[in-house]
Amino acid sequence: MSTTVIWICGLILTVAACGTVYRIWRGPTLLDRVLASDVLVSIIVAVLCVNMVAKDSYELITLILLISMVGFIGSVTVALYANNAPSREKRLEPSRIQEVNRNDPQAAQRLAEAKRVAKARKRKKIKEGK
Amino acid sequence: MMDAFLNVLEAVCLVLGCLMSLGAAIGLIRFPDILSRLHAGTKPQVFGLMLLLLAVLIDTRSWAYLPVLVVSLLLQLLTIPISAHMVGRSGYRNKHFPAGDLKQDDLRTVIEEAEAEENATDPQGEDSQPESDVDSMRTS
Amino acid sequence: MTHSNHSLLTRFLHGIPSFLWLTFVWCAAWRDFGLPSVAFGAILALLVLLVFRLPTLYLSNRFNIWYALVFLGYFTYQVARASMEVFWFALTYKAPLRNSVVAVKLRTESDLWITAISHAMSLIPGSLVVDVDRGNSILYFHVLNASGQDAAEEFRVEAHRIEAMILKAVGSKEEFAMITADESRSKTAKGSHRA
Repeated sequence: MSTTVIWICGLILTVAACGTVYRIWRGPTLLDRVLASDVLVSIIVAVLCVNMVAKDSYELITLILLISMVGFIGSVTVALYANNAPSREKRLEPSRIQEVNRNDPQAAQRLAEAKRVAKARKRKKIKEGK
Repeated sequence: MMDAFLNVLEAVCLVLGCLMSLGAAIGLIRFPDILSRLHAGTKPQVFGLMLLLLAVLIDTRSWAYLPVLVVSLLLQLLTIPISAHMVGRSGYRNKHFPAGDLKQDDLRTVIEEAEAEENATDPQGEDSQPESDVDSMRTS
Repeated sequence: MTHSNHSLLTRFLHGIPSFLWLTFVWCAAWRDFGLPSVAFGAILALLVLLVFRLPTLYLSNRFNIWYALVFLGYFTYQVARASMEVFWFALTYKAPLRNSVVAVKLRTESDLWITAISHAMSLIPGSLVVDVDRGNSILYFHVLNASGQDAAEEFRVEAHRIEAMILKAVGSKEEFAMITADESRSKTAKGSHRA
């Protein structure tokens, strides 16, 4: 493969990697960072492909195979454990539920009512000495 | 003649595949919320990988590497949606997006009803919710 | 085992595809399809299947290679088209983003094909499965740059097309019959509409 094409690919991938690293650094939530590092992994796969083409040696294909086998486990794990964590990030702080339900006041009321009932039931349970 | 054609095809595949990565990075930077960014993120992982593996296959000029390339592509195709779905589901449930962003949302009421039901039947689930939310809603 | 209603023989028969796949992966990884490699891969695959027991995957009773190829071609085309679209959209979009969450009711009830359909739709950029209602076989998609009922309806048609293609390729005989009946019905409806 001609050197020009390899150079163009290298430049494009460098810019792309810088962009994803920016998102990892900046990303307001944990999930943004996870997603960006996922994309970074796929950019590394692209780098490996370009490298194979440039050097005409194809042993790195095993590495690509391994990455495609186990690369997804990290993000799945983080997504699972980030699942119920209330986001403490600056932008999303002020009462999330209210913000989301702004368009539908009845839904908010329903939710609040259900929560009140649940809380009352819990208090009763504690009083009964369970 | 054939060789020149293959060379051009390979170069096009390489550059396009790398451009897909660039597109993903641009999407990651420009899109405002996690779910839109997910759309941008799946792009280099699927189409870019297809193009780059095709370029590698053309570069080897033999069929010996086809099985391993197909296997790695298939594994990637099997695993990408899993992580994308997990991240997307988590992002949606944790409301990682501005409120007015979704123009149409078929899922919201379903989830809210399910959550309300769950909270009513299972008081232990209440602990994870901060108290201030409920209180502020009651007073407002 | 959870599926006690299936006999040992059917379980064995349904284990064959995973066995072949594992052997193929071994040979592909070593890039060696000679007899020793295949034999060793087969032994390893057998070992893996016996030691790490998973619930058996029950595939359907038919497979149509022609429809599978049609689906593959269409899928690749859709991935290419949607990738370009999302790329262009990422470059040019302006501030208020118009996304939607669209519920799509699927016609199949098999878990395996619901998974396959959601995988295929997730791989096409621009749509993403946020949640699954397994009991009612409803998929909730997050769709990029779609607002209003029209776009949602368009997306539903697209999802149903993918579903029809997958079921035609690998679905069971009943599902195939259902899909073809559906298609002929919609065709006649369209024809009468035009006339």
